[in-house]
Amino acid sequence: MNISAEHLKILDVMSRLSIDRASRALSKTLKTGAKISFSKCYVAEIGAVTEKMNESTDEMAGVMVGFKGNVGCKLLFMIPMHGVFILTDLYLRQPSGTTKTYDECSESVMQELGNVLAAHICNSLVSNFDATLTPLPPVVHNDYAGVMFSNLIMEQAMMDDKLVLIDTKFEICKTELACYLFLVPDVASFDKLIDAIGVYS
Amino acid sequence: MANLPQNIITVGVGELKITRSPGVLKTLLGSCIGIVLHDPLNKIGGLLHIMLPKRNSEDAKITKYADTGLPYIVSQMVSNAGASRSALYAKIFGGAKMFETNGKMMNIGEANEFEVRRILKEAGIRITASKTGGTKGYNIIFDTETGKVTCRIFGEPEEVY
Repeated sequence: MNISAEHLKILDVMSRLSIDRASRALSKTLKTGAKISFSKCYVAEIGAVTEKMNESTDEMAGVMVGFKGNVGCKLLFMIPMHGVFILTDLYLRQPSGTTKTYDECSESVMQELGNVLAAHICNSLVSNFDATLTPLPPVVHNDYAGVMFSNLIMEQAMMDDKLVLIDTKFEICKTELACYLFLVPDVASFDKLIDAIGVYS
Repeated sequence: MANLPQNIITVGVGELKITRSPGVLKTLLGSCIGIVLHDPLNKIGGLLHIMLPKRNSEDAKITKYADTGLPYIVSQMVSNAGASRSALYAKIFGGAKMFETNGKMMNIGEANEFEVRRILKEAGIRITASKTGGTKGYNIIFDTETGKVTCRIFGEPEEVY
């Protein structure tokens, strides 16, 4: 993995702008605050980061979105299974506790939240950094957190032992719910974007 | 899993960990294959988490691939950890078909399993148990004292192999 500290810093700024936009969109969609409590952009060693993820056997619901265009990127939005019920009630403006089972309705809500996040991350990159990209249809999964995460990074892991990871945690106000958002940018394509905005390493 | 010791070691993607009793090794698997090697005489166990069947670059980490990782785990267990080569047996798990972001199923799991079985056969190491395939993740916990592997596929009850 060949990425300079300057490029990583720029990528961090780009991701913060996009994730900030995505969190505001999520807040509007759910009609409650989605507060970013942690956000970090770093180069991760695949063995170490997956070891940490595999420590937990939490059962999660997740939505994965790929992007098509001149910037390669993948997104995974993940929440604990019980969190799907909370988000479904918030999204459908139902009293808390109405949703009790995971069904087509809650799966659609997850898919829609993936759409909302991906669309706003895309919009930010397009409007601020001249990227041309569109999100692919979201794919909803239920599995162990570590398995979903490994699935997200599989393509990168086939080519390298390290990857750039943008790791974000949201807290949904008035609930105990924490949501996790991972972005895995294709560093080669982001380099072109960074060069296009006039920053040269 | 009842009465397990507290020293549980987690294994990440493309990693290898070896320990002896009372050590416990655990990992989560999707399309990857987890290969458990156990020496019941010396109570030494190793867990290799491979991602791909064949190594594609000289610089790549050897434990990520079946063709380089399996000979490596055997040599490490025998030379460094003091396991008996003739006592070793294997159990294999994982190799599920997982979704990609384009909605298609990734079928690398089958190729991984094929390569693992081929290499173990060539090396003369018996596979005494296996649970592979499906479309959900595996949570495996390997007790080096007994050689037993507790496997739980997401959404299914726990099974012991």
